[in-house]
Amino acid sequence: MSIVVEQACGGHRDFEVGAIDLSLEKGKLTALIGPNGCGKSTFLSLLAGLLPLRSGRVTIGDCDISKTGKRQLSKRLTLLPQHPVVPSGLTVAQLVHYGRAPHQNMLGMRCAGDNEIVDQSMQTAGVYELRNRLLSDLSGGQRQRVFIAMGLAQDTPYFLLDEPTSFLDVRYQFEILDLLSSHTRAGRACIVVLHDIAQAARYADTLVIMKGGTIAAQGAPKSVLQPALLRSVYGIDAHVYSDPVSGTPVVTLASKELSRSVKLSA
Amino acid sequence: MRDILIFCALTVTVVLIAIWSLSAGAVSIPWYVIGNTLFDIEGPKQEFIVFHSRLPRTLLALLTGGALALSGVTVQALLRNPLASPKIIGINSGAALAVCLLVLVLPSAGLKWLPVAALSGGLLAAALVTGSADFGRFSSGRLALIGIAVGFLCDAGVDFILATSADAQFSAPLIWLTGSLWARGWTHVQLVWPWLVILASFVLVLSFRVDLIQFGDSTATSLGVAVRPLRLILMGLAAALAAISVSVVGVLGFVGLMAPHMARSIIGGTHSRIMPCAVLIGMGLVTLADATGRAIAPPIEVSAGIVTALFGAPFFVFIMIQSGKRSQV
Repeated sequence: MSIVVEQACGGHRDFEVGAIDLSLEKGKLTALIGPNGCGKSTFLSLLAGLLPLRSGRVTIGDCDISKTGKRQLSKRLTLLPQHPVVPSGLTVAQLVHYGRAPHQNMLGMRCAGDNEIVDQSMQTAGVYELRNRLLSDLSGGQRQRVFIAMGLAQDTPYFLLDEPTSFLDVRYQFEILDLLSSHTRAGRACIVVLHDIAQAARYADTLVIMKGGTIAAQGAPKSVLQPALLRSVYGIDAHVYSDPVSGTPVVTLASKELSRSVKLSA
Repeated sequence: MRDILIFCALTVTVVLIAIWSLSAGAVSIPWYVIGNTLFDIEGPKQEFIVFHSRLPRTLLALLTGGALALSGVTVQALLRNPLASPKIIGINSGAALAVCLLVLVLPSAGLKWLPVAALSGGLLAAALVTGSADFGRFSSGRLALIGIAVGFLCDAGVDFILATSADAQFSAPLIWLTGSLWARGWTHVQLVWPWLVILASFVLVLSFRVDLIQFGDSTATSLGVAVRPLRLILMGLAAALAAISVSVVGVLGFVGLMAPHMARSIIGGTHSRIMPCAVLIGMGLVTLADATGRAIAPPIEVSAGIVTALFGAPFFVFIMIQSGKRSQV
């Protein structure tokens, strides 16, 4: 089972992404990168069935997402939006329990095994000790990990995350990426929107680079991150070198100032 | 355990308020006389006042108070806005305008048409507000703003009708529209209780879905909620609850704002607990307001709407300050 995107096209009234072909397999971490406003979030919304497809097809295994009910979809795919709403008066454990909603009945009655999965998810995300704290009392990094725990509790084969590391300290950023990486190794698939190219290259099996609402390149980080591509996508004259620790590509400017490099690329 | 205690305390309070509501008024009735009358025990009784005036009135206060509170909780969760209430987004005013129009256009129409008119007015206002907010990209902030505008429009309509109808025979019966239980009887109770009970049960059944929808459209969808249909259904139920209440007690706006917040700060957490708690608080508030209005200066009656605001507002501010200390809302 994998997610197959064929010529997908759709979005908001004033912005669409189009002509997207992609295959997302289990056991792979895919990072979605690209300049601001290139359609990363819109694409995730299409995948998650939040926005309707105008044309093309997205299938998860043998199920076509535009023909599948939201409830069926929610057993296959989890989306963590960029700015999740934080309701007041909820504890961490209560919030994570809502992740089980797709597997529960209309009334949200807890099923056998729910408590174990919720505890397990909180432990994996490192928030088990916070379980009785109010969400509103937590720091941004803690809160983000709680929402990730909620996503883990949903227990779906595919996990989509929209910029889960933004606004976090560098330590939390790596913690979250490590977590997603081990989640992927457990046979799941993560599709993560990231801003930091080096982090994306370090953690992703596949890098998908978007520009202007479509895919500019996709593949293994080393083969994709080439100066020519970075020039056309980000408009920078880039120098790519190997990270001394992981051996994955790192991007920096080829000259001391951006203005000079832009002139070069123009 | 703490929850059970809170619910017991609230229930006892509501029962005590209801008993006081039976006893307070132009003729003050001691509690043992009420007991004798209600349970048919030997001794002094006050059957006429209790059964024909105060009991139906108290029941009506309980019913509409609960309904308005429940409607308020739902609207606040849907709009994810602590300022929201059925009154703020125009439902109450829409219902009141429809009732006014009914009395103006069809003065001969029977009492039984009141809830129907109020329901149509309230649903129409809710549909107008939700529909315009759903145009393009849905935004709950825009919904609240459009609701306020629609509310002002309907209020203007009501004021216009009341001010221009010089005929006292016409405008006097509409005074209750400002929020009073004056001259309400069994006919009104029979008229609204089936509606309110059925609608309220639907909302309570959906309380878990309300929990999910308050996480925002993206998260709710990811958790398997068909957000748009659910929002329409809940908005419809909330509008119907508020509108039907308005058809018998008028625009008791404050309860729909206050009771949900009090419930949230007392019990908090999931809507399966907030909703019943808010219902009890709403019941208590309206009944207390109505009884106080009768007891302040008998035989004159101060309308429940005025009393709710008079005593409710300071208490509300106090609760908000308290919850500010615990960094909620």
